[in-house]
Amino acid sequence: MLLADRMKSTARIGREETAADPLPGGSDRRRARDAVGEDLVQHVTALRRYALLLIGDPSEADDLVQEALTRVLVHTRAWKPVRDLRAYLFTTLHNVFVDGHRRRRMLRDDIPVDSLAGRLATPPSQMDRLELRDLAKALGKLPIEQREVVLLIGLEGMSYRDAARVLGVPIGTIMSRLSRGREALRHLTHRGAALKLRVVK
Amino acid sequence: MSWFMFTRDRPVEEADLQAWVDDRLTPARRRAVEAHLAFHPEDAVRAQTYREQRRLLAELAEGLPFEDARDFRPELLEALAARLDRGRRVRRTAMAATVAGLLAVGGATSWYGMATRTADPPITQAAVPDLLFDPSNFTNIEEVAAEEDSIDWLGKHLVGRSLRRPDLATLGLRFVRGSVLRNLQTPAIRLVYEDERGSKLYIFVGVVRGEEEPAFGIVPEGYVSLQWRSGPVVFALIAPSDSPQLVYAMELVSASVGDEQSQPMEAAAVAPSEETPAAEPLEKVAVPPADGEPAPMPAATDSPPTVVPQGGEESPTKPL
Repeated sequence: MLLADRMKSTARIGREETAADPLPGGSDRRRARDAVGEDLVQHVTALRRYALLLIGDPSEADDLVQEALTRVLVHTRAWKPVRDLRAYLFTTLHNVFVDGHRRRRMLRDDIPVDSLAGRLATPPSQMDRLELRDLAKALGKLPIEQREVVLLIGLEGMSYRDAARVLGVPIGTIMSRLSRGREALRHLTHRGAALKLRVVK
Repeated sequence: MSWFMFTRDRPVEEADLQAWVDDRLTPARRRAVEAHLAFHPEDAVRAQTYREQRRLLAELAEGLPFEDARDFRPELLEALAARLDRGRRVRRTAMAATVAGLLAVGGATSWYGMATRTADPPITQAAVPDLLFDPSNFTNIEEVAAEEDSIDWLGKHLVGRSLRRPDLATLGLRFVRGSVLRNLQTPAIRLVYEDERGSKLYIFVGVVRGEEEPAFGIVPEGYVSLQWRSGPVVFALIAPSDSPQLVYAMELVSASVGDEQSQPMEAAAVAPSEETPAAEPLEKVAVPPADGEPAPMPAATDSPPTVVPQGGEESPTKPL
């Protein structure tokens, strides 16, 4: 489970950090630092999840996340505190993604998300499995801009405003991408069609 | 978020539908959208399908194969955690008032556009009605643990009215803490709200008797102060001066005072305008309407530039 991984990961970071902390009376600091580590691990987990669904290929996704984290590390200075780590990480990821897209054309419009659905760690029920496969496939067919918005809002639960900041577009653009993305997904999945039939009858 | 703030009598639009899917509507607007859906089965099917998409997306994500989640770039993460932690400590100590930030988004005019303003405004300079506070006494702020305590405490000084903690969630503002302000001539509390990026809004609430008139203090640079009065209750709202939707915030705050017997949202007790004292810096900010429901936009057009709600972010979309 992701949560378990997250917690183990947090614990590890906490331990090593504190072991290297020779200051006396550092328990408050340790707690603070553990909290930072915990936040970070949670955000990075979300970042990886997002990147994976965005580009479909696990190793490329992790490369993207790594590059984003590296960029954050390089640009973060102690005198410039990060206020909203999640937004900052996602914004950086988006920038790296856009740069990479321009530079290497590493993305195709058709992302092999399908293979991903076949590798789900948690075996869902037969019905859900079908639906999930459908969804993953449909997601891969969305234009990348719509995919970003659908994932940030629909999966990461970002506010429209935050999504607008992360992607650097006006909130109206977010809304229209969201609307078009969801509608496209509906048409691309059997689920949408089935529900439509059921209700219309 | 601003686009659905002032929508009470607007037709339901595509953006409303999406916001319904994401559960980001005010209760009033949600009712409006659900009423629309009841009469538009095509839209209802669509909206339900979108909700189902959300659920499936979460399920898909939950099952993603992160074999190496525990060991993802450990050195990088540790270095980053240390760097971020150092940033936090520096911020807390020497650089408390720094105005710099990695997230500084050029030209941002929003709650989190102020994200870089890391420190609370110096409390001794904050603009609060004089009768609420004497700066020399202001060192003795008693922080109360439970969020409702300060409200309850102040409520005891109100006769015949109820007091609730203002809910500013629709503005993206989260309640952080309440404090009872001791050593003042009148009972008063301070409430602190924060947006997602740490930009803060302060609300001072005091109870006065008789006709005492609030005076104005000094606002820290970059902050705006709005003060108004609702019967015996005096409010001061202090926020970054480029905050959007301050008028709406005023209304939400005003709505926290109610007649004892009435429903919270339906009965904001708002003083008639002639009772609103000392409105010089604020006279152009419309007094919240007496019917209590958050008003539609008109207030904004009369507002001075610093408090014009930033509703201008591309109002989405076509009517359905």
